Amino acid sequence: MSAPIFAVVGRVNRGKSSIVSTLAADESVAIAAAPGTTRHNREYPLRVGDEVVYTLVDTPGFERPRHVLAWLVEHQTQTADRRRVVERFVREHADSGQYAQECELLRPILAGAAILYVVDGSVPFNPAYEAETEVLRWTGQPRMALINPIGPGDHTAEWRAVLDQYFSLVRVFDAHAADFAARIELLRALRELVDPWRGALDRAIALLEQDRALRVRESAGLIADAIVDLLTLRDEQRLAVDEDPAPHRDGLAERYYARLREREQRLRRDLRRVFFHERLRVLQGDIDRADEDLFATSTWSRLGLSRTQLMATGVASGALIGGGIDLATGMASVFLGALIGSSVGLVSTLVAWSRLADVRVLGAPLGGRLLCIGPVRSPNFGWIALDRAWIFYEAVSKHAHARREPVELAGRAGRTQSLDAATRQRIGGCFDRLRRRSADPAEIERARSELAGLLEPLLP
Amino acid sequence: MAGAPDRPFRLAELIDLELQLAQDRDASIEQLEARDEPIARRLAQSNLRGRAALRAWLEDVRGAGASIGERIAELRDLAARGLFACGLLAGIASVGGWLLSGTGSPINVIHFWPAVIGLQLALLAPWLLAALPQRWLGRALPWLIGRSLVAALRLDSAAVSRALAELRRLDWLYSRLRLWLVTALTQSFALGFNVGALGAFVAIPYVDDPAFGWRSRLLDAPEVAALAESIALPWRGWLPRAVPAHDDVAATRYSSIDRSLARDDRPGPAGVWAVWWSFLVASLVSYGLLPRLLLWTVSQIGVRWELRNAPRAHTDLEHLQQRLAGPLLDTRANRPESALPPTDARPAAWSPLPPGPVHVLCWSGVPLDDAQIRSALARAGVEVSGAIARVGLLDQAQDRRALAALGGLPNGAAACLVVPAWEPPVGEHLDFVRELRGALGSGRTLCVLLHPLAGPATADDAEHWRSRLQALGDPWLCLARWPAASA
Repeated sequence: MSAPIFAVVGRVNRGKSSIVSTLAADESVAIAAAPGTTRHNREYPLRVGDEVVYTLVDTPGFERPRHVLAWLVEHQTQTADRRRVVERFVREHADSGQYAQECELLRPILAGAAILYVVDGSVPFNPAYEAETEVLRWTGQPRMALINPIGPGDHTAEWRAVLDQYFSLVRVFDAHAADFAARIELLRALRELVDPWRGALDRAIALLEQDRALRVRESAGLIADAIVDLLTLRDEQRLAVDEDPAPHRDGLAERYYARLREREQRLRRDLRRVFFHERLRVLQGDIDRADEDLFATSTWSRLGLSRTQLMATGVASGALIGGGIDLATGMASVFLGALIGSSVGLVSTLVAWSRLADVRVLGAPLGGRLLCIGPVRSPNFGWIALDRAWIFYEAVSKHAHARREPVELAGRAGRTQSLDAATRQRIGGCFDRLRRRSADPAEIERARSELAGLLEPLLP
Repeated sequence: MAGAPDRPFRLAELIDLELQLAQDRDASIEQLEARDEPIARRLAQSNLRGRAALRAWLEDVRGAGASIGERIAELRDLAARGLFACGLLAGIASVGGWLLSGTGSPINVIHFWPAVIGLQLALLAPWLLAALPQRWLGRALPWLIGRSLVAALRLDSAAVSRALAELRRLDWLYSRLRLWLVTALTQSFALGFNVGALGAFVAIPYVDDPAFGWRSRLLDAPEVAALAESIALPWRGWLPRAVPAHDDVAATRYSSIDRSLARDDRPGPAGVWAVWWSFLVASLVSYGLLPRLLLWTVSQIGVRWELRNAPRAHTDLEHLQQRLAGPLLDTRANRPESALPPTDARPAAWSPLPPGPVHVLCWSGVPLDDAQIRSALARAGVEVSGAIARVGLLDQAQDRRALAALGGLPNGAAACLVVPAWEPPVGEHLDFVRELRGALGSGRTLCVLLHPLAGPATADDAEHWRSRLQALGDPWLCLARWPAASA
């Protein structure tokens, strides 16, 4: 059996493309204020690999439904012939410019597509629409009417009373406000339309829910990644031994906060991508500069070895030399040489490290001072970062793809305060570990993994 | 490919996977998705999961040709074989050199044992170093070995250096694997050394007659015998011949004065001087060969165990698995959207309502009765002449009747078509306006009057009507707004 096909039809500028855009989660669907934007059918198949589970077809709007109906009535010989008359109409007018839109929209229906007829529930019913519903009835295909309230008015009841006469199913579906649950609800309703398609639509619902769960998981991981980066971010600038760090502080701080903001921007891009909202403009302020002093200075070294490595090497070298002496004495020294050698190695390494900044090779210092900034130590920073990410996530994950205007997030309340005490404690524990052990990759990975696991069930 | 066994990763594959993931960190998510999406689809079709899927992904991404992981794994094998050979030579050389030194005096067991066998225990120290927690001394030895390998084998090519640097960043994740790999390498050398030493020890008595004894100023015979007995603990129960008896120990003591004695002049029976040989062989096997063999075997098992549990979970791997995970729904259109036609964004120019009596036609959907229409137009000073015709209904015969009625209009009279402003203009509207013009004749004003749903007509509504009416090219066609309600 072929996969279900649904042709989304209706008058021009009544929100057909909006419905397709939201149902297909595709922001590339052209939605323009000008009527007649859609001139040709455009298919939106729900694919898993090469398999098509169902297809939505966005069609051009009716331009001359009364004329079409008049032609059909004129050429009808008997009631049972109606579908054939419609087929004849399409055949005979395929090349005529006058009925190009009607022929285009009727084509998928005559090929077996079920009909999703879209009207604007915010404006009153117009008897002229009966011509469209009648033409669609003549095709004999299963039909559902979708009342899509585009504007502020509410004429839903009026429309419903009329549409109930022509359609087996009538649903209100606000394409601009529909979230994932509403999309699934509509698909469930479509199961009632054509019985043999029920299985395919059940599978589509299951796949979409599975896909959604994966996207939520991916989002939780992305948010956790960003929080980890934000909480562990540090930057540094190398200075000469006698260089005053003060003039460098502002520049380094600017660079540091730019990197924090850039990381947050990256999270936003990633979340938009996860929910297919790459073009969506979401207005959210940047991270503010904190008042706390994030600077520290320490000694740096050009050597490839860290201080610990250098110590280990010193101890090992000393032990080796001492061990040689032990061997030379026929082990009469009972490893005393190795012990003394390793101790000497340890002490000399420590002394060498503290003087590294003064050592010059070919005029260049081997060491110097390191001006470090970050990570942000404020215990609230993690919560602020999480709240900002969460608000952004909610905005993009629930945003209907038909809505194209920018989303303003200023003034939206945070979500973390409403967490239960146990979850808050565990998330806070992750933040603490990240702050305290920001140089330990294993600990960071563990905290990140726990954070992602905690966030996943919380994200809607 | 379906149902391919989920066999453990090879070292080369693991290295390649981690290097690829590290390389992917520099790419944008869009690039990674574009690359991985078709691969993920193929994997889904082949029903590959887990490591098999990762392996297939890696093959796809890496392409043909020897990988850096293969090169590093080959180098590691080469290093293991080289270390074994070096150990073998070192063992033969040290034992052979000692036994064939030809000084004429017996070989002092007190010197020989710590140097050749005791050294085996000392050589365990590097392994212990490597086994220490990373934050202590453990990083130094792998670092030194790594650097030495790179220098000795001239692995200073940029790719290998970068790869090794990248792999060092994964220390925290694969420290156990690295520990076992390093252990296996060091034990290769130690095994070689013991095999070489034992071989030399067994072979040399066939071509020479080394004698073993002991001399010491601090130790006397009972102490040395007790020491030998303690050392022989592992084998004295089942190989008593390899444990020097007290009398033998006493008989094999010699002093520096004896050094000048010819071998035939040694005191005591000749066999006594050889009793230490079996003791030393058993020592070499027990304290040298067997522990090294055991450690080498354990390290091999360790490597396999770690590879069995590889790759270890971490963020980059999780992201890859998410990219490869099903069901990989695609809901996008099967062809790109064509560009929208350019719009003439001029604001709609409203025309005044025509002076004098006008004939009014009202399109379906305008929720006003005749009196309301007359009253509204009267507010704007427009007098409605004749009956208001209702057009645009389901029955087109009414349109035709309305058009026919226009034939009786007086000269100069204008016509006004009231339309619902919120309904977008469609072909039917335009067709009717065209027919209306035909019925009116040219030169008469034809006004399309937009009736709003609430308040004045919106700019969008007006613009939609203006742009479509303009396409008719009728110079006497104008667009007017509905007269405002009186206060």
